[in-house]
Order: sequence, then structure tokens, then C-alpha cells
Amino acid sequence: MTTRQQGDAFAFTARILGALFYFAPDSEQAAPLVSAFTDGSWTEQWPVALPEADALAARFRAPCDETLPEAFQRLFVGPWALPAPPWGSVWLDRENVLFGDSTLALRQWMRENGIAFDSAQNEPEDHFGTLLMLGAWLRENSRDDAWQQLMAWHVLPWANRFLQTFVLHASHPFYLALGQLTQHTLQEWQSQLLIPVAKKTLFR
Amino acid sequence: MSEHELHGGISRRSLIKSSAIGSLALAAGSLSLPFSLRSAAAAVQQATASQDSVVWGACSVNCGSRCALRLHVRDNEVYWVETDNTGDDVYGDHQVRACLRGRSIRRRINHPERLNYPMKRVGKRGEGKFERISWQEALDTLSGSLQRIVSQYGNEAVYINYSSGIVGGNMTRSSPYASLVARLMNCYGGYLSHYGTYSTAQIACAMPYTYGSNDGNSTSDIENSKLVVMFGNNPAETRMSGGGITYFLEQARERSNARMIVIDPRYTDTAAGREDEWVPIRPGTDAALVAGISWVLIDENLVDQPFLDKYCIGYDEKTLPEGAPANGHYKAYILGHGDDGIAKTPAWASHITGIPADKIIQLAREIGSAKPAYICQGWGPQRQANGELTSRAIAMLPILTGNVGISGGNSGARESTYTITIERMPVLNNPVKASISCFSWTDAIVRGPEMTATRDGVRGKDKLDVPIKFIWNYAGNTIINQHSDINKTHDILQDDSQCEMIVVIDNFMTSSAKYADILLPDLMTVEQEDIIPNDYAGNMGYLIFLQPVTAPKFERKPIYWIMSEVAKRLGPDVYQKFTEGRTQSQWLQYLYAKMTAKDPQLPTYDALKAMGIYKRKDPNGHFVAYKAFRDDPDANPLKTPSGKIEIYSARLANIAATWQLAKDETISPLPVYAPTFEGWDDPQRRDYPLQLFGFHYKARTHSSYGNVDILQAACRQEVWINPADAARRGIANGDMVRVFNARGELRIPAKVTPRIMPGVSAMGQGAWHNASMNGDRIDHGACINTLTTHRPSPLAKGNPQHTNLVEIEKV
Repeated sequence: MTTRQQGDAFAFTARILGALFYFAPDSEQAAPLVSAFTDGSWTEQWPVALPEADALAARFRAPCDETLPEAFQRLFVGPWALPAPPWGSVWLDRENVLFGDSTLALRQWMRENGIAFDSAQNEPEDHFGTLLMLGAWLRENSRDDAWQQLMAWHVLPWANRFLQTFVLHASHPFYLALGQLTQHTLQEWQSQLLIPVAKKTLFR
Repeated sequence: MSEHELHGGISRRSLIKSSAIGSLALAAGSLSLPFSLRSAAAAVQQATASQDSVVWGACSVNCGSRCALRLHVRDNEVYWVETDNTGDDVYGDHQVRACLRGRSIRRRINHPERLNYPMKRVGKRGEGKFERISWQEALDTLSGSLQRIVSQYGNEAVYINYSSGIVGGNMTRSSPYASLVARLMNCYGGYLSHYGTYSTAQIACAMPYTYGSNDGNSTSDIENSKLVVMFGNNPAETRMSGGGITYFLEQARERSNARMIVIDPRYTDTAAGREDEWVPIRPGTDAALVAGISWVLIDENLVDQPFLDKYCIGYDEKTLPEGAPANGHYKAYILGHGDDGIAKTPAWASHITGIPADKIIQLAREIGSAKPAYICQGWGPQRQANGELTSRAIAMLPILTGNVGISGGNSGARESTYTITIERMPVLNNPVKASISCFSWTDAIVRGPEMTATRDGVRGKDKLDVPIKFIWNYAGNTIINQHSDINKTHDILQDDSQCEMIVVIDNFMTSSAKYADILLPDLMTVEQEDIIPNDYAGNMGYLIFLQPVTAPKFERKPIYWIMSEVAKRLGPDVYQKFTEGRTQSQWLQYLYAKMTAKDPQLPTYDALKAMGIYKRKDPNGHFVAYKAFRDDPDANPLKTPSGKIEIYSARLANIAATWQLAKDETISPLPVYAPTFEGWDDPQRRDYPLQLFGFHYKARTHSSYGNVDILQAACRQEVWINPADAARRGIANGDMVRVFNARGELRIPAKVTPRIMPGVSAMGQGAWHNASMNGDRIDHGACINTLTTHRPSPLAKGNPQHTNLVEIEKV
């Protein structure tokens, strides 16, 4: 991520992907994004080259017996076990818990960087969707050092494992496509990153 | 927020400028990102608040122990957990150290599978389909349903299901007769109550016929014993806390050097090299062993005749009560002069129990000559289809030998404990007087109005008027996992025209929660303020003052808030009566003020809060059951009708004569041995040759902690089978096997071990049921209740969950 264009492309994609992982598909935040993916208009606007763009676009559109809100609930809300819990510490903490050691490290880093997470409820800061949106916010505010640190230290160390699991168990074409699109886009970001991705032990 | 908008606004403009304007860009650009700048001062302030602290907590599950936890908190999150490490750790003032379960509580508190939001059922009941809803909708729906059902059927149609997930709480206590749910219902006309528990249904019902109550000497008193005899008592696996019974047993025996005999089909951890003798016995036959031993005691004149004459009725013709048949006394039964004409010789008992006759004679001589002897039972022997008889029969050994009411002796019951002063959250009085056995609720759904006092054990009235239509289930897994015959229960519950509403309040998606119509996410006890007493803890009582370890997460709510909100919806009078205008914290202060008024030695509220744990040794030394009666029986009669130990119970004779019983059910005025359905001699053994019982497993407390991975790994779920039985079936250690009978089938690895006697198998109870209920119903979670029966025991109408016949085959 060296050029301004690359930075803008990151912010653009991170905003969108983050929101789709974090907000319910029928929410006011995510619904317009979902439309852009299901009507196919997103392809020409996506700034990252994709190997199988057509197949991916078709997948976003594909019908499914399970509604999109149902799939979102199954993947991100419960009450059944989430197949790929979207919180970083579930993968990074030695006990696989929410609000784990890695959440505390992230929180401390946010504090040192003067960042507040304005959540409606007491929830962990390390939700995959939250972190992507935070990356976008940092980049949009030209805080490139913090943005790069966030990605290298708090997101990329576990994102691949999470996305692999997410894609494996998505079981809904839209979210499968979202997972795959994120995998490709993440790869692009990682290749442009100026600082090395921290090596962290994954416990799941 | 203004900072947020400022930065967001700039970025949005630049974003749109630099991208092709399309629907995606527009949608992305209009999104407000949930972040803002925090001033340096605010950050510093928060950083100071985030210094490490230690918060006192407790593990509040139903293991019979109660352990203090010290939770290390950083930045409002638990980062590691230790247990009581305060004081000098001298026996009697020792540290209340948690077992591996309590120490793993961080994995429960912040488990990725914890319930975070209220849900309503959307598919067929039990299908497992839920939709997230708001608290408002959830509370309105359940309150509306409660009001409708009460107005249509009456309060008797509302049932609070047995639940023991939080027996350690005070404000949060889940025991149905003591919970805030009961308090709420008692403010709203009452509810159909139950008697007995899944833990102690048979013994709690039966023992009072003998003694008027169900007390035992405290385990600490074993320091005065010469001999310890354990019938199916296994504290090393059931009360394994460092503040609990297993530690007292070890320490007390170290002081007295008492020999210990363990009578159990399984070579338990309580034995495991610490015993002097292990006597394996067929499940359900303890009463026959007792009869065989009694025959020797009588034959060799080892009975304490003066004790029997003075304190007991029904031992021989001298104390046989009026109205009893002449040959109706215990001595006649043992010697073969009773109705059955069978002398209960060691050879007779050997045939039934599987214990060699010589061993029975040796046991009798040892029991008859070591005094004082601590003869006790756990709750395994009574959790059988003939458990009422068994529990009373075991009490015969200390009675015959005069070990009752003395230091170092025992009544034959399970140990009692010293309990420190405690004032429980008052639940008020239940205006509904009818109650059923804790085990009969599925029957009451299907055929409530057919259930009577003399056939089904309905108490408080002759019969039920209405079936159960509404079920409250707070912190319990007894709707499915811990109730019997899961496949049958599923069929009953799936029909939502019968029971119309099930409300489940819990932390996890248990198999019971799967059957909820409304599912509510609860806060854990460690996340709330509470003051709780010791559970079974020998002669050292203590109080633990818990503080919320962290702020509540997601949309989880405390039970007091939930019930207050329901009360509000039921009417202002109900709300006022329920809360009495107090907050949860004000209730604690109110209750503690009552405690200090009663017991001025207690520390002040603030002092206790600072201490976290307060310990006190029993001022009387040890609890000795029925000591006052032994010292002066005329001044201190027992609570039996005669005031004496009733070896022959006229009340039971009357029940036996008037109740409707099946041919294979026995209620007797004497503690006789009686065979039972699905016992060792049931003809069904042709098809299902192995007896199967469950045991309390270290990996869990019942089903609590069952979803903690390291505990599952430390103590794997396996079915124990003897090498002889395994060889006959071609089963090797570790093989996956199917365990089945006519009621169901489960899959589980086999543990081939001589630690279980031939013809018998066993598995830890409480594993989480995991079957496709619309498919093959094979339980891959290996929950024993896939195999157990709904048929109740004859007198207590309790759960005979250790009386099962199965076959085991290699998969």
C-alpha cells in the first residue's frame, strides 16, 4: 500500500467489506451495499483485480432457500455456535475466548492512538467487520501509520485463518462470495503493506 | 460524535472523488463509520482505570461444593483465574481451592458460543430455528402468554422446571422453589410446584420414614471413626473441591487411620488406591448385601440389642408397633420367618449381589466389631428404580450396630455439613398447593388431569385439574439433557398445542434451550453482586461476597432485571410486591443486615466485601446426626410418628396397601431388598444383557461446563466396560461403540477396564445430547438420557436414571 490510489482503494473496499461483515443485510447501513452486490453493479467499481470475477458476481446473485438475514444470523448472531466466530481473540487467545488477551492489546493500541469505538453495546473491538471499517476510517483520516499497524498487527495475523473457516462453512452463496471476495482483496492489501505482518500463534 | 462527523465527512468527499461514482460508491460513502477521536485526557483517564485488579467470584454450579475464585481483571476483562490462596491454609481454616472446572471459568464467561441476544422460536418447536428479537418484544410476548394461560387454565398450568445450573447463587439461585422465578410467580397467583430433586428423589423421600429427616454426620467427624464404609459414595468425583468433602475425607482419615471399604460397581477415584478394600456390587442390589450382612450380625450376635430396644421400633417382636403383622419385624424378615420365608443368608445375598458369601461374612464381622463406624451412602444407590428401599436398607447397618447419633458414627445417610449463617432471597408463599414429583412433568403435560395422588404421587390434592401449559426454565438443562428418555420427551414437547409456552433463560444453547419458544440471555453469577454460603464443607463454613467481574456484555441481563420487567408487565401491584422497591444491591444489603442481626459475629457488610471470603469453623466441632436424640430420646424425639427410629414404618405399610402399584413395584414398611424393572434379573437381559448406570463426571457438573474443550480433553466421555464383556463383543479399548436399548442409541468410545465389574457398564452423565431429531436420532454426544426411562420409582416417583439395561456393539 504505497500510493495514494492504493490507499483510497483500500479504504473503499474495507468500508464495504467491513460493513457487510458487521451489519445485518437488512440494516440501513448494509442494505444499499447488498443491493449493489446482488444487482451486479459492484463489479465495475471494484478497484482490485479479481481472478474469477464473473463467477463471484454470479455467486452474489445466486438464489438460496435460506434468506440473507437468516444466513447473517447463523454466521454472526447465534443462538447456535457461529461456524467462524468473527472476533480476533477467538483465534488469537490461548483459551479461544472473546475479550481475550489480543482484544486487550488492540484496545490498548486504540487508546494510545486516540481511537474510540462507538458501539451501541458492550462488545469486543476485534470483530472482523469492525476492524476493516476502522482501517478505512484511519486511511480516510490520513493516519497511514496507524492504518498500517492495525492491519499488520491486529487484522492480518488471524484474518486468513478466519476467512478460510468462514468460506468453508458459509453455506450461503452471498456470504460465500463475500468471504472469497474478501480473501482476494485481503491478499492484495497484504502485498502492498509496508510493514511486516506480525507472526502470532493461532489457537484455533 | 462531532469529531466523528467531521472526519467522516471529509473522508466521504475524498472517497467519492477518487472512485467512479456508482451505486456501490454511493452506498459506501453514505455509511457512517463507528469511530471517533478520543482526547488524550480521556485516554489517560481510561488507562488509569484499567490497572489490574483482583475480583472475588465463585463457581456456582451444582457439584455440592462451593469454590471461591479470584479473577484477575485488566481493562474490565478477565485475563486469568486463580482460586482462594488466602490465609495460612491450615486444615479447618484451609483454602477453598477450586477444581479444574472453576479454574476454567474464563472459557465459560467469554465462550464464543455464549448467548448474546433474546430470541424467539420461528420453526417447529425443537427444530432449532430462532430469530433475534428485542428485549421489549421478548418480555411482552412471554408476559402476554403467561397472562393468557393463567386466565384460561389457572395458575396450576404454570410449571417451574427443575433446574440446578446455579444452586450456588443467592440472588441468582436457580433451584425452582428458591428462585426469583418462584418469587415472581408467587406474586402472581402461584405455580404448580414439585417435590424432590433429580439428585436425591428416592433418598429424600424414603429416609424420613426411618429417621424423620435425612441427616448424616459431617465428613470431618471421620477423624473419630475406626471404619469408613462407603456405599456408592464418591466424593473424589462428586465433591472434589478443595473446600469440599474429598479433602475432609482425606484429612480426617489421616487423623484417625480409619480403614475404608468402598462398595461400588465401579472402582472410583475415591477408592483408587486410597481404599483398604473395594467390593464391587451389581447396581440396584445394595439392599440384598445389607440383608446378608444383617443375617450374619444377628446370627453371630453382633447387633446392639440395647440400642435397638431403646431407640427403634420394628426390629423384633418387642418393638413391633400395633397393627403390624406378627412376623412383620425386621429380624423375622432377615431370618426367613417373614412372609417370603427366605433366610437372607450370605449365600442368598451372594447370588443377587455378585459378592462372594465369604466376603459378605467378613464384611459383617468387620462392621459388627469396629465402633464407631462411619457407614454412609452416596446418592448413586438411591437413583435406582428400587432406590427408596435401598437407601433405608443401608441405614440398617448403623442402626443394628448402634452407630447412630455418636461421634465417629453415622446414620447411613450421606454426609451433612455445617452451614454458616445465611439469609436467602425470600420467595414468599405459593398459593397453589398442588405439587408433583420433579420427574413427572412430561406426564403432566400429556395427561395432567389423569394424574392422581395414589397412582402418580400428586401431593396437596387428590388429582391435578389441568395439564402443564407454560414452563419456566431458568438455568437448567432438565427439559432434555438431564431428564430421561430424550426421544420420548422430544415427541411430547414438539406438540406445542400441549405445552404452549416454554421460556428458557440461560448462558448457552443447551439441548433444553433448543425447545424454547422464548430464549433469553442470562448474566452469570460471577458477573453480578451476590453473597453466598458454603455448600457441603465438613465443619468449616464460609461466606463469599462476589463482585461483578466485568460489566455486562452484549444484551445479556441479570435474572433480577428480567423478572422485574416481567412483573412490571403483569401489573404495578405485582411489580411492587416482587421488588419491594429494592434494587439487587439494596436486596443484598437488606438480607445481610438480617444476617448480622441474627449472628453478630459476622463481619460488617463493607468488611466482608473487602475480605471476599469469610470462614468459620463449626463451633460444635462436628455435626453429629441425631445426637440430641441419642443423648435423650424422650426430650428430643425424632420427627417420625413414633419419635423413634422406624425400622418398621406404619405409614409405609398404609401407602403400600392403598397406592396403585404395578406388579414389579414394591413399597414396604421394612427396608427389604426387592427386584425391579430393568434390574439385574429382569428377563429383558436376554436382549439387553448389560446393566448401565451414570456417574458424576469430573469434566462437568451434570451438564454445566460440558462445552469447555480442555475439560472434555482431560476427562473424555467414554463407556466403561469390563475386559470380559468387551472380549465377548470384540471390543478393544478406544473402539467406537453403539450403546442402545429400545429407547435409543448413542455412540461413544469404549473404555475397557477392570475398574468396572462384569455385566455392568457406566458412563459419565451430563454429556451434551447431539442427535438429528428429524433424522436417525443417534446421539453422538453420548448423553445417557438417550437410554433412560420415564418410568418413575414406586414411592418417590423419582428418576431411576441408574436403572437401565443396554447392549453394546462395536460400530
